[in-house]
Amino acid sequence: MSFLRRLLEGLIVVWAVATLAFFALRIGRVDPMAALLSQGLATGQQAADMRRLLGLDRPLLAQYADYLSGIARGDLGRSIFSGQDVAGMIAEAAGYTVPLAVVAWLLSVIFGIGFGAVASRRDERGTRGRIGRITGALLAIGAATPVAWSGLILLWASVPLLSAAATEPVRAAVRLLMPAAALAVTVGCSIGRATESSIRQSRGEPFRLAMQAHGFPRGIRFDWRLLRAYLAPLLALAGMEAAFLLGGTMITEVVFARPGLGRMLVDAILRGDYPVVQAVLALAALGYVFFGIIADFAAAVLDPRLRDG
Amino acid sequence: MNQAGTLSSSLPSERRDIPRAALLWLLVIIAGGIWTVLFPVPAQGLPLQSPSWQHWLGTDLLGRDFGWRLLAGGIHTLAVATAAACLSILLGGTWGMAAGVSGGWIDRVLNRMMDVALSVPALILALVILAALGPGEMAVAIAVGVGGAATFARLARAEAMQIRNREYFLASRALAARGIRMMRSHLLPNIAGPLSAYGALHFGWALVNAASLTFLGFGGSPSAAEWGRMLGEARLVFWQAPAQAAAIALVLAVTVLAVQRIGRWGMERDGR
Repeated sequence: MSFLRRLLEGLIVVWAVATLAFFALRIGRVDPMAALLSQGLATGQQAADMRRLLGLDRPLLAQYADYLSGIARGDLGRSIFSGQDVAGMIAEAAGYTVPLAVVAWLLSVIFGIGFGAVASRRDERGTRGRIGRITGALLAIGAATPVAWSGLILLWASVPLLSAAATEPVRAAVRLLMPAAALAVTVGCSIGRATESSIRQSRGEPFRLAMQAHGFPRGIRFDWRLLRAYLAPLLALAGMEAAFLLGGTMITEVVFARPGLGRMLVDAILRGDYPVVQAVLALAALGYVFFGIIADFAAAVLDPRLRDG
Repeated sequence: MNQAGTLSSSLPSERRDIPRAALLWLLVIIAGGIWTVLFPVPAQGLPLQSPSWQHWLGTDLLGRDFGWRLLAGGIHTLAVATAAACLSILLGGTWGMAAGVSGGWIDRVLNRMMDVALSVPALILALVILAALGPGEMAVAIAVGVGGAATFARLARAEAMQIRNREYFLASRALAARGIRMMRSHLLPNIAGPLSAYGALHFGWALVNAASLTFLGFGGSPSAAEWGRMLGEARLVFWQAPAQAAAIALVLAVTVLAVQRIGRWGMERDGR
């Protein structure tokens, strides 16, 4: 069955990323003990003790075996720097990042598909109106805007909003919406551009010809009968944009000084906190694979041409 | 652009000239970068000054001439992105050609590797590599370059598999040409076009990601001017000098747009 096969392939990908991260970090040049020593957080003796305690002095393959059996038992190890349980750290950080990513993703899908549809509009003779041209240009600009910059603008805008907000729930909403909107600018605009080209390309397709033969107008209209055909490739893209959200949350969380997975990953990589980096990267791969499978599944439900067998 | 219609979409689109404004912008950035290499660094002033005759665009948080750093940063940023894109093309091209030409179990193994690499976001791969190499501009270029290689491998493999069955290729194989020679004289000339056209499009991606990584502090030495890192610094003084962050974001966005336009032009000229 293709679903099971897809699942198995996904698990292999996650394993490959986890393994790659494991060996890359240990063969690599970043030594967490050097970071501890240089920051004066440990003496040479303490660093050596720590190395032994973490098992970093043992052969690589033995460490790898421990790591895999730990994952199987749900034990992701402890952070070299804070000594906290990595699983607990991830759970805590995910509490900040997941709402951010979900809101950003929803905003970008809704606005992206909406503006993409507007930008793709043609009149009867197939020429693009002024609104379409302007929307198209805005989408191109938005997709090229660095997340850091849209973040700074929205951070700046959120200050008066926060002081104007009367109640705590409103303030919490602003604190979540602003960084999510910053992320959604770039992601939403690239979804919008993909929507536009997807609608444009479908003009030559047989089902469009059949629709015209049935008296459906030639110009581009946004119609639910078309939406089904457009949504399938867009869902695949929206799944892929989940990957961009990881990079985006790293930047947004740094700009807005929000705690979360992205910021945790940046700090951990810079300091060489092996267990944290490994776990977050494997988690990112897991999420990516998971959303990819869901997107494929949904696409097959929507578009009968994509169903196999 | 194809006109509305039915069959015209399958015909090759009309040839268009290279987008001049985009090309001009890139040339200005390169010329500005060369300027900063040839002429001495302006003297340091007080931090965060507004524009004056000494410092045309004012000074940054350490009193360095902002306009000069903007120019110096441009060529630096382009260089990192170029290195990354070239690495992607070289690595992916070799990978894909080796798979496409050899066939058999070598192809199966190399192709499986592409599957795995493609099913992980390129940014995650880049971060794994960065975690191994540690911070630094070279590391960022390598990470982004290796991260994006699999796409080119797929492309090169598809092209190589088409060429593999052409007569001239079979003829040269019958004449006992092998390995490197086959790749150089028959595959490369045919694959270079599509790969470099896609490479130009990919360049924009490399630029954004390299700048994002340096923004996050993976760029290493803080003294060198580079747009991502400069945006990170400007962020710290955003409340005092918002125009600096705006200027960097603007040049970054315009550069990405310019690169994308040229890339799309290349793809269209290539007939895809």
